[in-house]
Amino acid sequence: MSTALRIEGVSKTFAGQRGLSDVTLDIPAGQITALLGMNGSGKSTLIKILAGVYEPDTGGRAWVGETELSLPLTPTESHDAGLRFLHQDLGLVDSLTIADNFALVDRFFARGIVGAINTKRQNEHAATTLALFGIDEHPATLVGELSPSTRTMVGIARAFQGGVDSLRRTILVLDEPTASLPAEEVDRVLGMLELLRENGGTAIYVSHRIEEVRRIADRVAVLRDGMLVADEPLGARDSHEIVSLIIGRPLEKRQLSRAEVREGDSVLEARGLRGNRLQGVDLSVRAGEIVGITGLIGCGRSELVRMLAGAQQPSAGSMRLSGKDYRPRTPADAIAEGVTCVPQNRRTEGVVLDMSVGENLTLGRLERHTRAGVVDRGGEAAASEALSEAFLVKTASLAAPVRSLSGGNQQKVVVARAASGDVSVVLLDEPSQGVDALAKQEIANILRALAERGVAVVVASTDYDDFVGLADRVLVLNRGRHVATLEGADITEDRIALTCTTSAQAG
Amino acid sequence: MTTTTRGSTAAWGFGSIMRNYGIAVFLVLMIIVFSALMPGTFASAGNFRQILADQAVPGILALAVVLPLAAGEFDLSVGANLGITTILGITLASTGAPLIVVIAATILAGALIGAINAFMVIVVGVNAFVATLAMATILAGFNLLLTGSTLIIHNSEAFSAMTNTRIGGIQLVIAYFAVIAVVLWFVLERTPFGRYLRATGMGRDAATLSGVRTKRYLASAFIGAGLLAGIAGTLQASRASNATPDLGPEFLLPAYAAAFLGATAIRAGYFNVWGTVIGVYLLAVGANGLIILGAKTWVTHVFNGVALLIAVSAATLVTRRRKEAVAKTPPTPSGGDEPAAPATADAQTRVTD
Repeated sequence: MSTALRIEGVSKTFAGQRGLSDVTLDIPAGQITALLGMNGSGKSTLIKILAGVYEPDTGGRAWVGETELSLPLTPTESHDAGLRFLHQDLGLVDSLTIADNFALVDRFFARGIVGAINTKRQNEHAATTLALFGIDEHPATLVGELSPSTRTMVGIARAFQGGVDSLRRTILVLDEPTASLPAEEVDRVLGMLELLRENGGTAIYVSHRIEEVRRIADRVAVLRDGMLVADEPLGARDSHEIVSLIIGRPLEKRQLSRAEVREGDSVLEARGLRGNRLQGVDLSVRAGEIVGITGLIGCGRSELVRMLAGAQQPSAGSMRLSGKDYRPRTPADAIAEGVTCVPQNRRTEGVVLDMSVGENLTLGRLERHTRAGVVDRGGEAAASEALSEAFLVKTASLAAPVRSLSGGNQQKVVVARAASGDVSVVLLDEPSQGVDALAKQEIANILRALAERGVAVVVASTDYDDFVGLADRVLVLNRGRHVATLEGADITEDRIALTCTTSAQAG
Repeated sequence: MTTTTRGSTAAWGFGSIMRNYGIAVFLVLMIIVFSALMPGTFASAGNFRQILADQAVPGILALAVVLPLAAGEFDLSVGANLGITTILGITLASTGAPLIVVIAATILAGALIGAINAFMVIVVGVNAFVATLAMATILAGFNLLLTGSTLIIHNSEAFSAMTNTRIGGIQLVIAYFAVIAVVLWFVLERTPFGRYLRATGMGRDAATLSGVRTKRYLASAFIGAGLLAGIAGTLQASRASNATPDLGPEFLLPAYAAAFLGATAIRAGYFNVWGTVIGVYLLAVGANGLIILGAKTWVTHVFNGVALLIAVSAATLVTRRRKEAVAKTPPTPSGGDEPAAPATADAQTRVTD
């Protein structure tokens, strides 16, 4: 079997840290290679180097077939070399037809840039490619009207516009193509990839869904902390072995570091919550308890947090707070009742980047520092000072813009704000995303201290390490349903990973 | 580098003065140069008083646009709002209605227009640019209707006296402008309202999730802009005593020019009261000086445009350099941030959950 793509000694350093470390990898032609790894393992970095988005450190080399590429690539060089990328959002324009979407990445059938487009020829051209993959849609259909799996398939087909020949000249990189698809639609997409392979196509398949990988991939390449730790035929490896490869840690069980779990009353309860993703989820959190919520991408944990925080309205179900009906219509309502939130996207939802550290600490809580309708600036400064000290925010000054802080310190500002005042429930969505190891530990300690104070803490995360030694219970969601609960000594990274993937397989 | 972005903590070097008070320095320089060139005409108390008084109404309109801009939206209807409220004021005054009724009705009409804008943008969800542009067009139509397409006048001396009375040689209209500027500065810089309005403009999602009721602040910004435009219209009606059917739209662009000039002071993109006031007078002094020098009218237009382009470009460049400086250096004293790039890459794959 010949090699479609060879990468040799490719590294990438970000601000002094290795994002990718001396990776050498052969992608065989006519096969599907699964590229696996946890978030931050370097998968995305590697893909972005191939796509010409990131410039690798000097010294790395790459070949497509027999031809050596000159690194760093530009996006055009990458495209010309036959590399095609399908991201999770597919990059399709919903308001255009299938044929127009094809033309966007290839060419419009027109004379020159201002000539009239020959729609008929364009449709015929697209129809050929659609037929090749057995996609039964007319090229003039708007992409926005297609079902989710058909959209994904159109996105894949778009990479192969040169007919059967182009199958062998193209290397398709798929980044979690099935992440947002319902289970029953995943099969269609996998079937299409099998068809692609039968025709001699080559693909790199990035996914967190181990069962899909086992079904579709010929090889697995595993990245961990920027290093290639496995590159081998899939063979008979079972899910557990693949997950162990990805996590790469011995099966140690960390002790709960909290002295005792308080047996408080249930503070926040939810019954039968439904939304875009949630399919009826129950939840009960006691005072002083730390509850983790996890699951694969698309499981609905963010939606659950947003509903509890008043940022999204459930389409069905009910919530109770301290025994009373709880129906927050806005985050402001939730905060007024003592439920605060650390949102997922820190830079857009957590902090106002161009406001100062002090202003961010009191955002939404300024009435506490207001006298006769005027901000008591002395009182506000004192409170911010106390908060930033208590929550270990490292900043040159409270007047510095939050933008100038590191990710970890920005996050501590958000956590400090969420924990300030009279709070009974704190919700966190991906609290350690883009946060360095030290700050991550500091935030965990802050959450422990909050729980000791009797605050109920809910942590939603896809980084299983967030829960180890912190959470009293971890709820595993899969496609909008609560499918498993892990407690006590069962809360380890590999147990959680295994539960997530096996429950996904069952679902 | 973590300390330099604010005027209060910056060193008092030439660069920082130019960065934070550039347009004020420019205004002073222009006054000095014009005064040197034309000591008898430009540099006369009468001319200065005239400039001050003439710019009061456009100045209030410029303050009106600061509110939506601070909240992150455009209101293109304030010029037409001034037009229709002026016409309404003159029409009411000419009927002999009591002064208090004329003033109250005119100002309320302005606020009502702002409320309709707020409804369209916040409740219906129309893009603010489009909604207020449509409103401006509609109001221009009503102006023709109300005036019967001819010049209208009022003869109410009491109404005229409200703005034209001089105290120590200074027209009263300047006092209204000053009071409004001080009140608006106080509201924007010293109250929770102002802080939340700015948070709404600078990061709406973060503000909402932090518990700021951003829709209310957006609504207040449009209603406040309408209210201030209504006040400007009332004062214009009082001061000018007459109006043509096409009054209004020509006030819009200078108001935005002044607000954008003002936003180059203190912090780039930070719409603020005193910067806007200086911006109003910078443009006015430039036009006045050039005209007294004998320049044709077209020169003043070119001057206004060029001044705006230079000021905003300079501010943009300074901001970009500052942000690049932030990006290049390890962020906080603690350092040790996770590499930014892979974090965002992961963020992209996670957002869809």
